[in-house]
Amino acid sequence: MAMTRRHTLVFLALGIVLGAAGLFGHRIVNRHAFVARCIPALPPLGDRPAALAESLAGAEARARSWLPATKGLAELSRLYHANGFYPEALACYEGLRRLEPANARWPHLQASIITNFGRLDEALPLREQAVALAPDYIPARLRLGDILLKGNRPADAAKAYTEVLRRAPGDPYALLGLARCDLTANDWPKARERLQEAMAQNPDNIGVLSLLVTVSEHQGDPATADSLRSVIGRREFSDLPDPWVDELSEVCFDAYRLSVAAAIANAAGNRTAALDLLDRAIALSPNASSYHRQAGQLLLDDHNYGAARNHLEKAVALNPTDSDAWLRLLDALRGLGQTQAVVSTLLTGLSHCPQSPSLHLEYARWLKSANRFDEAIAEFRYGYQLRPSEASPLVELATTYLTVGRTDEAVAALNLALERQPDHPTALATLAFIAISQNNEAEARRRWEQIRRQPKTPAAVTSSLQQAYQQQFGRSLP
Amino acid sequence: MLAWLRLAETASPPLKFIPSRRSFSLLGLVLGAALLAGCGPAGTPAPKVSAPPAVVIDTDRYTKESIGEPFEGKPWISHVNIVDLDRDGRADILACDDKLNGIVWLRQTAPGKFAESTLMAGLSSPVHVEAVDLDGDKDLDLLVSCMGEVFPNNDKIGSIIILENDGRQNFTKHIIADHITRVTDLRAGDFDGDGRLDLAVAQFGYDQGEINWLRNLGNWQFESHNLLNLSGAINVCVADLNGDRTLDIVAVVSQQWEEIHLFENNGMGQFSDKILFGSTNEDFGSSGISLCDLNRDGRPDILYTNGDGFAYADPGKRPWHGVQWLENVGGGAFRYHRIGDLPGAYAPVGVDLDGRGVMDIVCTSGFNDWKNPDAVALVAFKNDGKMNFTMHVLARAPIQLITCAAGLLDGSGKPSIVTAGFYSYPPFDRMDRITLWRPKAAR
Repeated sequence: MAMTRRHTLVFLALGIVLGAAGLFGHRIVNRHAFVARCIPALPPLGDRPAALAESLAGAEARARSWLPATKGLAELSRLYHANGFYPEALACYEGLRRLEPANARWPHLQASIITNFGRLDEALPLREQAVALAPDYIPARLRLGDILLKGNRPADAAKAYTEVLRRAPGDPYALLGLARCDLTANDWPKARERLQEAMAQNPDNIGVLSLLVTVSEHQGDPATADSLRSVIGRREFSDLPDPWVDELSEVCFDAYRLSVAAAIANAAGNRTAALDLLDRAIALSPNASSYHRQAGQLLLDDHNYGAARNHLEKAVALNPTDSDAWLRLLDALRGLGQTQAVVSTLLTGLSHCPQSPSLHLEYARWLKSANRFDEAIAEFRYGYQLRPSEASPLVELATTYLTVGRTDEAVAALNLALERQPDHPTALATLAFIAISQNNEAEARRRWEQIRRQPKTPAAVTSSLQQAYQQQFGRSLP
Repeated sequence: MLAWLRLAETASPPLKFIPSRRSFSLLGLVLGAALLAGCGPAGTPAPKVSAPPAVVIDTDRYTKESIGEPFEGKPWISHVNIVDLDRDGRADILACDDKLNGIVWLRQTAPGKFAESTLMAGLSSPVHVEAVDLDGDKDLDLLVSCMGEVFPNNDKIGSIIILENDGRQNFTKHIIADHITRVTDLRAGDFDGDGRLDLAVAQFGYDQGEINWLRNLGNWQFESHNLLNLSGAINVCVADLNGDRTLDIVAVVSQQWEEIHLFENNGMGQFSDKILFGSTNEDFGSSGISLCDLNRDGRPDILYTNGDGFAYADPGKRPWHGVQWLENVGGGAFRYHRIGDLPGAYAPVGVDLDGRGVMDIVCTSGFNDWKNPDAVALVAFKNDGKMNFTMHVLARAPIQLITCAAGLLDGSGKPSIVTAGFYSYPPFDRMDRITLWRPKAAR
């Protein structure tokens, strides 16, 4: 049958449409079958929350459906990764890498699990792939630099860090990495220069400050080292932010993991995020005292004493033997100015935690403040027996002895404290004052030499010592 | 495709393309096939989830016995070591007791029987003790690493102490260095070939730490030489690790660094540093290394645990905690092998547990989910002789064990294990101070 040109075009168009439909259908069938084979068997969930099981079931159902299969597999990977089911997450990522070979997220997340277990050789090609696919995602480049540095390839690591700096000038983690590369080449001045640059732009990066202390000491600059030490205080290093990994906590149903994530967020300076994570931990595990204690501590750091008190009262109600929670609760009550409540809470805490050195120390301090010196001395001694490695209870014991004129016992306690902590600033200063008051100039000068080497001695204390020495001996301390 | 088009052109007038039904179908198929080519991962094998490793419950393997002085409160034993201190042919046990702030000696008075005495008190948080004849007078002196404070502290409160033995186990204290960053390990070796034993020192510090070697100048005088300035050094071990017949130093550095460094010695006390392993997980939790020729190829390998759970939130386990070995492949090169997962893994010790001629590994857990009564505290990774390891659970209590040692302690000819507890966080139950694990009779 002859066909017109119009018919021809219709048939041609139809053929193309059918071909495209065939292609689309084949892709879906193919993809569906592949995704189905990538879905790991559901691991035993034990006592994990029902919400996790429901989320996993939902994600798996989507992964097994026709159209959103890849999306479902991605959801499943997030859930497994965030909740610590790493073999299952790795299987998902392996599949996702094949389904979406241009998506940098999958090799990056896969590498993040593998590197957590120390298998850096396996992770290196994944890191390289992630960088190639997402050249502007800075955490991927930094992680690549870190792997190369740890793999004893500082020159290659330096290239990775330098590339980060080209894209993100002043990045503290890149500068820290480069400084470490410099140190492997024994180039201390260059390392110092990099760290100073990093500090100038990121004065709160503890990793940078900490290494700068080391470099300053090495280069014979103890003044800078001591000054930096005081800035660092008790703050801890925090790992570099990595949004692709960090956002996994959104689907975490494990209270302990959330509490660790909260601590990391807090160390990175994000207290709001930390408190949100702890709220979720508490919702998942409402009978665990430790998450309330942790939240209470964060709120105390924020001087939000009322909210801190609420959490801490819950913590001690849930676990009356949690001596740390009792201590924090005392801090919250002091912050609220509730003096009477402090005493009654302290006594209640001690009744539940009779072996807590810190609570005994608190009680001893209260007894001392109430001029009940003999009882305070007994408490300080008991606190020291409970934790004999610490110097501070001995120093407080000594100052109590001095208050009641028992100088010899004070000196003995201070010397014992110095055995525990040879540079204890208060112990040294107190011994110097005693020497001055006893007209023992040689001993006073000996202690003064020690005090001068101890940067933690408060300026007011050194000033008082100098005045006392001047008054007693009629000349200045050197 | 081109041939088909040419045929169509010759069979039809120009501009009159009239395909047959057959050719139409073919067009669809060809278009479809062309478009489908390379469109998905069909035929590629799907990823597999690795099966969890087998675990053998072997809690009847050893007889547990508390040894040494009875305890009150919470024991703080940070290190145990097995050595025949009095050279009477029976192995004894040395321990660092941080409640006592001293070194105690559990002398083996008869097979499997021990009497405890304090060798030296008044030390400042001793955390590691090694016995070696440092002064060459045929008795064992003690190298004591003192942190000054076990818990986090960045002050320079560490000290290096040598307890000199007079041959009758009376000890004189020599302070080799004090007012230094917190010291965690101290080992001896002649690094400069002058015939005197020098020292390798790990100084954990906190934000600042270091690894040094101290040249022995004689008369208890030492000269310090820096090897590395990083915080968190836990252990230093000494051996010829690159096969050049000189003693090298290997050290593990924790904190945010999480690295193992090899300091290769040229025989004159000049060292070059290289990283053998590093984790980019700053919460990896390195907890200790020891040396052992695990594959019996004549080269010392490195056993390595990561199980420190004292970071961030409440102390606890991490999923990546475990045990690994770095295979010495010669020339200063090492190959990383994961042996197995173990929450809170600490104190790796290589030992041939069954006298089969293959080295197994014993280690403890310091940080586990202790609310769970099934959490393990002491395990062995049994070697099948081909370097495949199976975890055997040896005990679930006492808990919170951060140190162990293995040796011949009961006259049976089979190795016993010694563990000790350090209880610094709840729960404070299932505690013991020093525990002897003796192999039961023939199994």
